[in-house]
Amino acid sequence: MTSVSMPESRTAARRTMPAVDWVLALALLAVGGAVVRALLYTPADAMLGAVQRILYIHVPSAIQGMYVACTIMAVCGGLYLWIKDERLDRIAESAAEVGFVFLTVVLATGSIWGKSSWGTAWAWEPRLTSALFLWFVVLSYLILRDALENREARARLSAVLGVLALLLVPFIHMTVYLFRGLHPEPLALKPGKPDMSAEMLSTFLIANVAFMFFFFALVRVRYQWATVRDARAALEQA
Amino acid sequence: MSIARHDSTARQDNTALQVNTALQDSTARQDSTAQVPAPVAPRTGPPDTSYYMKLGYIVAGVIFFAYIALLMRRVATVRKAP
Repeated sequence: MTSVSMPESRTAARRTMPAVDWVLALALLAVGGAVVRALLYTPADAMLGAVQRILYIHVPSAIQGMYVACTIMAVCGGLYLWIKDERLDRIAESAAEVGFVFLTVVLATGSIWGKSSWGTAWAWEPRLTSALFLWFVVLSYLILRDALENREARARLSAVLGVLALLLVPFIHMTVYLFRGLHPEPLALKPGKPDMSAEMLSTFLIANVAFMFFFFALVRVRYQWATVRDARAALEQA
Repeated sequence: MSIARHDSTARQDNTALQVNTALQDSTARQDSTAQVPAPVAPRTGPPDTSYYMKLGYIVAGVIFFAYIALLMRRVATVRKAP
Protein backbone atom coordinates (compact mmCIF):
# COMPACT_ATOMS: atom_id res chain seq x y z
CA MET A 1 0.00 0.00 0.00
CA THR A 2 1.32 3.42 -0.90
CA SER A 3 0.28 6.92 0.10
CA VAL A 4 0.93 8.38 -3.41
CA SER A 5 -2.08 8.41 -5.75
CA MET A 6 -1.81 8.25 -9.59
CA PRO A 7 -2.55 11.97 -10.29
CA GLU A 8 0.02 12.92 -7.64
CA SER A 9 2.48 10.60 -9.33
CA ARG A 10 1.83 12.30 -12.68
CA THR A 11 2.50 15.71 -11.15
CA ALA A 12 5.69 14.38 -9.60
CA ALA A 13 6.71 12.92 -12.97
CA ARG A 14 6.17 16.27 -14.69
CA ARG A 15 8.15 18.02 -11.99
CA THR A 16 11.00 15.51 -12.26
CA MET A 17 10.97 15.42 -16.06
CA PRO A 18 10.45 18.81 -17.71
CA ALA A 19 9.36 18.85 -21.37
CA VAL A 20 12.62 20.60 -22.33
CA ASP A 21 15.74 19.55 -20.49
CA TRP A 22 17.93 22.64 -20.36
CA VAL A 23 21.07 20.74 -19.36
CA LEU A 24 20.73 18.54 -22.44
CA ALA A 25 20.03 21.58 -24.61
CA LEU A 26 23.21 23.26 -23.30
CA ALA A 27 25.19 20.07 -23.89
CA LEU A 28 23.94 19.92 -27.48
CA LEU A 29 25.03 23.53 -27.95
CA ALA A 30 28.47 22.68 -26.58
CA VAL A 31 28.83 19.71 -28.95
CA GLY A 32 27.59 21.86 -31.83
CA GLY A 33 30.22 24.49 -31.00
CA ALA A 34 32.97 21.87 -30.87
CA VAL A 35 31.87 20.44 -34.24
CA VAL A 36 31.83 23.92 -35.85
CA ARG A 37 35.33 24.57 -34.51
CA ALA A 38 36.54 21.17 -35.77
CA LEU A 39 35.07 21.59 -39.25
CA LEU A 40 35.68 25.28 -39.91
CA TYR A 41 38.55 26.51 -37.73
CA THR A 42 40.90 23.53 -37.40
CA PRO A 43 43.38 22.68 -40.15
CA ALA A 44 43.12 19.35 -41.94
CA ASP A 45 45.86 16.76 -41.58
CA ALA A 46 48.61 17.06 -44.22
CA MET A 47 48.65 13.33 -44.92
CA LEU A 48 45.06 12.13 -44.42
CA GLY A 49 43.19 15.25 -45.51
CA ALA A 50 39.77 16.30 -44.19
CA VAL A 51 38.78 12.83 -42.98
CA GLN A 52 41.17 13.24 -40.03
CA ARG A 53 38.58 15.62 -38.54
CA ILE A 54 36.55 12.52 -37.64
CA LEU A 55 39.06 12.31 -34.78
CA TYR A 56 37.14 15.07 -32.95
CA ILE A 57 34.03 12.88 -32.66
CA HIS A 58 35.57 9.39 -32.81
CA VAL A 59 37.99 9.67 -29.88
CA PRO A 60 35.72 11.68 -27.49
CA SER A 61 32.95 9.13 -28.17
CA ALA A 62 35.41 6.31 -27.43
CA ILE A 63 36.53 7.94 -24.18
CA GLN A 64 32.93 8.34 -23.01
CA GLY A 65 31.60 5.03 -24.33
CA MET A 66 34.51 2.88 -23.30
CA TYR A 67 36.32 4.42 -20.33
CA VAL A 68 33.64 6.54 -18.62
CA ALA A 69 30.49 4.46 -19.25
CA CYS A 70 32.14 1.13 -18.42
CA THR A 71 33.71 2.54 -15.25
CA ILE A 72 30.33 3.88 -14.09
CA MET A 73 28.66 0.55 -14.95
CA ALA A 74 31.25 -1.40 -12.98
CA VAL A 75 31.59 0.93 -9.96
CA CYS A 76 27.85 1.42 -9.54
CA GLY A 77 27.21 -2.27 -10.19
CA GLY A 78 29.83 -3.29 -7.63
CA LEU A 79 28.45 -0.84 -5.08
CA TYR A 80 24.93 -2.14 -5.73
CA LEU A 81 26.07 -5.67 -4.93
CA TRP A 82 27.41 -4.32 -1.65
CA ILE A 83 24.77 -1.84 -0.41
CA LYS A 84 21.72 -2.81 -2.55
CA ASP A 85 20.67 0.75 -3.34
CA GLU A 86 18.39 0.83 -6.40
CA ARG A 87 19.64 4.27 -7.41
CA LEU A 88 23.05 2.75 -8.12
CA ASP A 89 21.43 0.16 -10.37
CA ARG A 90 19.59 2.90 -12.26
CA ILE A 91 22.80 4.92 -12.73
CA ALA A 92 24.61 1.82 -14.05
CA GLU A 93 21.71 1.03 -16.40
CA SER A 94 21.61 4.62 -17.71
CA ALA A 95 25.38 4.78 -18.23
CA ALA A 96 25.30 1.44 -20.07
CA GLU A 97 22.58 2.54 -22.48
CA VAL A 98 24.15 5.93 -23.24
CA GLY A 99 27.60 4.29 -23.45
CA PHE A 100 26.21 1.82 -25.98
CA VAL A 101 25.11 4.73 -28.19
CA PHE A 102 28.60 6.28 -27.95
CA LEU A 103 30.25 2.93 -28.73
CA THR A 104 28.02 2.60 -31.81
CA VAL A 105 29.22 6.02 -32.95
CA VAL A 106 32.84 4.91 -32.37
CA LEU A 107 32.42 1.79 -34.54
CA ALA A 108 30.53 3.64 -37.29
CA THR A 109 32.90 6.62 -37.54
CA GLY A 110 35.93 4.33 -37.22
CA SER A 111 34.72 2.24 -40.16
CA ILE A 112 34.23 5.35 -42.31
CA TRP A 113 37.67 6.68 -41.37
CA GLY A 114 39.18 3.24 -42.03
CA LYS A 115 37.56 3.03 -45.46
CA SER A 116 39.23 6.31 -46.39
CA SER A 117 42.63 5.78 -44.77
CA TRP A 118 43.16 2.00 -44.89
CA GLY A 119 41.00 1.23 -47.92
CA THR A 120 38.73 -1.04 -45.90
CA ALA A 121 35.83 -0.32 -43.60
CA TRP A 122 36.60 -3.26 -41.35
CA ALA A 123 39.58 -5.43 -40.50
CA TRP A 124 39.71 -8.24 -37.96
CA GLU A 125 42.62 -6.65 -36.18
CA PRO A 126 43.00 -6.57 -32.37
CA ARG A 127 41.73 -3.05 -31.53
CA LEU A 128 38.68 -3.18 -33.80
CA THR A 129 37.76 -6.73 -32.85
CA SER A 130 38.08 -6.11 -29.11
CA ALA A 131 36.03 -2.88 -29.39
CA LEU A 132 33.32 -4.81 -31.25
CA PHE A 133 33.43 -7.44 -28.51
CA LEU A 134 32.86 -4.75 -25.87
CA TRP A 135 29.94 -3.42 -27.95
CA PHE A 136 28.38 -6.91 -27.83
CA VAL A 137 29.00 -7.20 -24.07
CA VAL A 138 27.21 -3.89 -23.41
CA LEU A 139 24.42 -4.96 -25.78
CA SER A 140 24.07 -8.23 -23.87
CA TYR A 141 23.96 -6.21 -20.61
CA LEU A 142 20.98 -4.24 -21.96
CA ILE A 143 19.25 -7.36 -23.34
CA LEU A 144 19.77 -9.17 -20.04
CA ARG A 145 18.11 -6.30 -18.17
CA ASP A 146 15.17 -6.38 -20.56
CA ALA A 147 14.78 -10.15 -20.29
CA LEU A 148 14.58 -10.43 -16.49
CA GLU A 149 11.26 -9.64 -14.78
CA ASN A 150 12.50 -9.82 -11.20
CA ARG A 151 14.02 -6.44 -10.30
CA GLU A 152 16.43 -7.75 -7.67
CA ALA A 153 17.76 -10.53 -9.92
CA ARG A 154 18.01 -8.12 -12.86
CA ALA A 155 20.05 -5.63 -10.84
CA ARG A 156 22.30 -8.30 -9.35
CA LEU A 157 23.10 -10.18 -12.57
CA SER A 158 23.59 -7.05 -14.63
CA ALA A 159 25.90 -5.65 -11.94
CA VAL A 160 28.13 -8.71 -12.32
CA LEU A 161 28.17 -8.31 -16.10
CA GLY A 162 28.95 -4.60 -15.70
CA VAL A 163 31.97 -5.37 -13.52
CA LEU A 164 33.18 -7.95 -16.06
CA ALA A 165 32.77 -5.47 -18.93
CA LEU A 166 35.23 -3.09 -17.26
CA LEU A 167 37.91 -5.82 -17.30
CA LEU A 168 37.92 -5.59 -21.11
CA VAL A 169 38.71 -1.86 -21.16
CA PRO A 170 42.44 -1.94 -20.17
CA PHE A 171 42.92 -4.84 -22.59
CA ILE A 172 41.33 -2.84 -25.44
CA HIS A 173 43.52 0.15 -24.53
CA MET A 174 46.67 -1.99 -24.64
CA THR A 175 45.89 -3.86 -27.89
CA VAL A 176 47.70 -1.23 -29.98
CA TYR A 177 50.87 -1.80 -27.94
CA LEU A 178 50.61 -5.59 -27.52
CA PHE A 179 49.73 -6.60 -31.08
CA ARG A 180 50.62 -5.45 -34.54
CA GLY A 181 47.53 -4.04 -36.26
CA LEU A 182 46.13 -1.24 -38.38
CA HIS A 183 44.86 1.02 -35.60
CA PRO A 184 47.32 3.76 -34.60
CA GLU A 185 48.55 4.23 -31.05
CA PRO A 186 46.74 6.81 -28.87
CA LEU A 187 47.52 10.45 -29.68
CA ALA A 188 46.58 11.90 -26.32
CA LEU A 189 45.95 9.12 -23.77
CA LYS A 190 49.59 8.06 -23.54
CA PRO A 191 52.69 8.90 -21.54
CA GLY A 192 54.41 12.01 -22.91
CA LYS A 193 53.27 14.92 -25.05
CA PRO A 194 50.33 14.50 -27.47
CA ASP A 195 51.27 14.15 -31.17
CA MET A 196 49.23 17.11 -32.42
CA SER A 197 49.63 20.73 -33.34
CA ALA A 198 48.43 23.32 -30.80
CA GLU A 199 45.29 24.12 -32.83
CA MET A 200 44.36 20.48 -33.23
CA LEU A 201 45.05 19.77 -29.59
CA SER A 202 42.86 22.64 -28.36
CA THR A 203 39.98 21.48 -30.61
CA PHE A 204 40.50 17.93 -29.41
CA LEU A 205 40.34 18.99 -25.76
CA ILE A 206 37.26 21.19 -26.35
CA ALA A 207 35.54 18.29 -28.13
CA ASN A 208 36.35 15.99 -25.22
CA VAL A 209 34.88 18.39 -22.66
CA ALA A 210 31.77 18.94 -24.83
CA PHE A 211 31.22 15.19 -25.34
CA MET A 212 31.68 14.52 -21.62
CA PHE A 213 29.04 17.17 -20.85
CA PHE A 214 26.77 15.62 -23.51
CA PHE A 215 27.28 12.12 -22.09
CA PHE A 216 26.37 13.15 -18.54
CA ALA A 217 23.39 15.20 -19.77
CA LEU A 218 22.04 12.11 -21.55
CA VAL A 219 22.71 9.89 -18.53
CA ARG A 220 20.88 12.44 -16.35
CA VAL A 221 17.74 12.39 -18.52
CA ARG A 222 17.89 8.58 -18.79
CA TYR A 223 18.25 8.27 -15.01
CA GLN A 224 15.32 10.59 -14.34
CA TRP A 225 13.17 8.56 -16.72
CA ALA A 226 14.23 5.30 -15.04
CA THR A 227 13.36 6.76 -11.62
CA VAL A 228 9.84 7.71 -12.74
CA ARG A 229 9.42 4.35 -14.51
CA ASP A 230 10.39 2.42 -11.37
CA ALA A 231 8.16 4.59 -9.16
CA ARG A 232 5.21 3.92 -11.47
CA ALA A 233 5.96 0.19 -11.51
CA ALA A 234 6.04 0.20 -7.69
CA LEU A 235 2.72 2.06 -7.61
CA GLU A 236 1.11 -0.35 -10.06
CA GLN A 237 2.32 -3.34 -8.02
CA ALA A 238 0.92 -1.77 -4.85
CA MET B 1 40.70 -16.33 -82.58
CA SER B 2 39.03 -13.00 -81.94
CA ILE B 3 40.44 -12.87 -78.39
CA ALA B 4 43.95 -13.38 -79.78
CA ARG B 5 43.41 -10.57 -82.28
CA HIS B 6 42.10 -8.33 -79.50
CA ASP B 7 45.19 -9.07 -77.36
CA SER B 8 47.51 -8.29 -80.23
CA THR B 9 45.75 -4.95 -80.90
CA ALA B 10 46.00 -4.03 -77.21
CA ARG B 11 49.71 -4.88 -77.22
CA GLN B 12 50.28 -2.73 -80.29
CA ASP B 13 48.37 0.18 -78.68
CA ASN B 14 50.45 -0.13 -75.52
CA THR B 15 53.71 -0.16 -77.50
CA ALA B 16 52.59 2.88 -79.49
CA LEU B 17 51.82 4.72 -76.25
CA GLN B 18 55.25 3.89 -74.81
CA VAL B 19 56.99 5.05 -77.99
CA ASN B 20 54.97 8.26 -78.00
CA THR B 21 55.81 9.01 -74.35
CA ALA B 22 59.52 8.31 -74.99
CA LEU B 23 59.48 10.63 -78.00
CA GLN B 24 57.83 13.41 -75.99
CA ASP B 25 60.39 12.97 -73.21
CA SER B 26 63.34 13.08 -75.61
CA THR B 27 61.88 16.12 -77.38
CA ALA B 28 61.52 17.93 -74.09
CA ARG B 29 65.03 16.98 -73.05
CA GLN B 30 66.57 18.11 -76.36
CA ASP B 31 64.57 21.35 -76.53
CA SER B 32 67.02 24.01 -75.33
CA THR B 33 64.67 26.87 -76.30
CA ALA B 34 61.93 25.62 -73.98
CA GLN B 35 59.28 25.58 -76.71
CA VAL B 36 58.03 22.21 -75.55
CA PRO B 37 56.85 22.29 -71.94
CA ALA B 38 58.96 20.03 -69.75
CA PRO B 39 57.07 17.27 -67.94
CA VAL B 40 56.54 18.62 -64.41
CA ALA B 41 54.78 16.58 -61.76
CA PRO B 42 51.63 18.36 -60.53
CA ARG B 43 51.69 19.82 -57.02
CA THR B 44 50.28 17.33 -54.56
CA GLY B 45 48.54 18.07 -51.28
CA PRO B 46 46.47 15.95 -48.94
CA PRO B 47 43.94 13.72 -50.71
CA ASP B 48 40.37 14.97 -51.00
CA THR B 49 38.68 12.95 -48.28
CA SER B 50 35.98 15.47 -47.41
CA TYR B 51 33.27 13.00 -48.54
CA TYR B 52 34.27 10.57 -45.78
CA MET B 53 34.53 13.39 -43.24
CA LYS B 54 30.98 14.57 -44.02
CA LEU B 55 29.69 11.00 -43.99
CA GLY B 56 31.26 10.40 -40.56
CA TYR B 57 29.71 13.52 -39.05
CA ILE B 58 26.30 12.80 -40.60
CA VAL B 59 26.26 9.19 -39.37
CA ALA B 60 27.28 10.26 -35.84
CA GLY B 61 24.59 12.99 -35.86
CA VAL B 62 21.91 10.55 -37.00
CA ILE B 63 22.82 8.04 -34.24
CA PHE B 64 22.85 10.69 -31.49
CA PHE B 65 19.64 12.39 -32.64
CA ALA B 66 17.86 9.04 -32.99
CA TYR B 67 18.73 8.27 -29.37
CA ILE B 68 17.66 11.74 -28.19
CA ALA B 69 14.35 11.25 -30.04
CA LEU B 70 13.91 7.89 -28.27
CA LEU B 71 14.59 9.52 -24.89
CA MET B 72 12.17 12.38 -25.62
CA ARG B 73 9.49 9.87 -26.62
CA ARG B 74 9.95 7.98 -23.36
CA VAL B 75 9.77 11.24 -21.38
CA ALA B 76 6.61 12.32 -23.23
CA THR B 77 5.00 8.93 -22.54
CA VAL B 78 5.76 9.20 -18.83
CA ARG B 79 4.44 12.77 -18.65
CA LYS B 80 1.19 11.90 -20.47
CA ALA B 81 0.49 8.68 -18.58
CA PRO B 82 -2.42 8.85 -16.10
